[in-house]
Amino acid sequence: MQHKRRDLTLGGRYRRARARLLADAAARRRGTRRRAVPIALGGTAMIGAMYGLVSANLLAVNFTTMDSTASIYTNYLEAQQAAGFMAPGTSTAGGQVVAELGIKTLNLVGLCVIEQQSTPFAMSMVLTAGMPVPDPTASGSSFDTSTPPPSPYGSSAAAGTVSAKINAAGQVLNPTTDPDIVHGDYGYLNAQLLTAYGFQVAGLDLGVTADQVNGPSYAGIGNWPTGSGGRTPTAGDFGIYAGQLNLSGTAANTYGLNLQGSISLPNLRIRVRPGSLTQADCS
Amino acid sequence: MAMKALHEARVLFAAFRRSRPFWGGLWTIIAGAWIVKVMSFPIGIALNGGWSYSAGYVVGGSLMVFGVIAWLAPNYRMLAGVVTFLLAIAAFPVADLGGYLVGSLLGIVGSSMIIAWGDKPARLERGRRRKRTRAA
Repeated sequence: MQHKRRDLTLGGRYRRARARLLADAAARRRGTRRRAVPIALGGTAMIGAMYGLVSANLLAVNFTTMDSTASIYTNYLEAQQAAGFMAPGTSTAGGQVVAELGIKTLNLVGLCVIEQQSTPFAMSMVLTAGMPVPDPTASGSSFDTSTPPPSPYGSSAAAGTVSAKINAAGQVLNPTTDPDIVHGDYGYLNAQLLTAYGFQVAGLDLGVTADQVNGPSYAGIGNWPTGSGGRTPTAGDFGIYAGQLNLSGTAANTYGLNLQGSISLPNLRIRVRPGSLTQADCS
Repeated sequence: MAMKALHEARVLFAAFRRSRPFWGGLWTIIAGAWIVKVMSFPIGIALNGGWSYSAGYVVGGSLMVFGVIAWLAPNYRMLAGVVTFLLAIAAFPVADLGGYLVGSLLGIVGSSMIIAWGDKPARLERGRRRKRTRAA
């Protein structure tokens, strides 16, 4: 009996693979069956349930961004043990000099994060939590960072609501139980620009050598995450520390946001929209 | 010559598409790529910066790998589908809310299509079955 010799050349291998593929495709009729629908609905329901748990302060999430410009807005920031230092320009921050800021415990009266995504078409993600953060300039009210709290928005509708969340000493009332308050710990961001009205700043220490700002004598936040370009507090960099830092009408342009601890995001809402968005899209 | 090559490519692509969970795998790969894109950090920071920085690469990269596995080894589609389904759900708490929901939802659609991919009744058989049903 004579065996047919197998063609081991590239062309022969291609012809055999081609024949196998065509035979396999023609053998049976296969495709996506209708049972995909209940499976997909089940998965979507699970995501919906987790979304609800995050909104109800029952599930903490990891949220970290870098090298994409994000704008962060909040009506009021109450920070305990805040440390910062200047980080020289790095490629990950577009060559910009940025201020690294780390906060041990933070309470926000409303939060709005707008992140621009550099996809082939311009699109933005808007994340809101807690109470709305309206654009103070949209309604014609003359908000600026010289307007003192507890009425950071002058005569705007949100003023009464925001001020009701803060006591006379500038501390946020019921930070863990109020659904309008975003409560978190070990939050870090690197900001190119931060504007706010500083209110009730206590224990301020300017000019701390940067390698000590996160140490036990100051903020006590231990290891700083490798922020923009892997820069951690380094001796010789300018450092700043505040035991208590309360800011109203806070707006920051950041290259990175890192929440190492847990954060509650009550009334969480995420929207993805085309184009570049502004604070007017926060509410 | 070019037309012949184009025709050959179309025939092979159609056969490739019909013999494996192509669309489910494609959606899964896109979901993984989107999550990696949303959480894209320099590789040095991802390796040294802890889970916060590496989660996108791990979850998104795994989604892409299992999407490719569904393409190249369709016999393992059930395993690949279940794993991608779980990864798409896990992406929500660990990877910037599943790439702002988009990655998680695309991953769920893709993985459910991979799981549900399989033999379908031949068109002729289905027609006959309908006739039988009507007759009954």
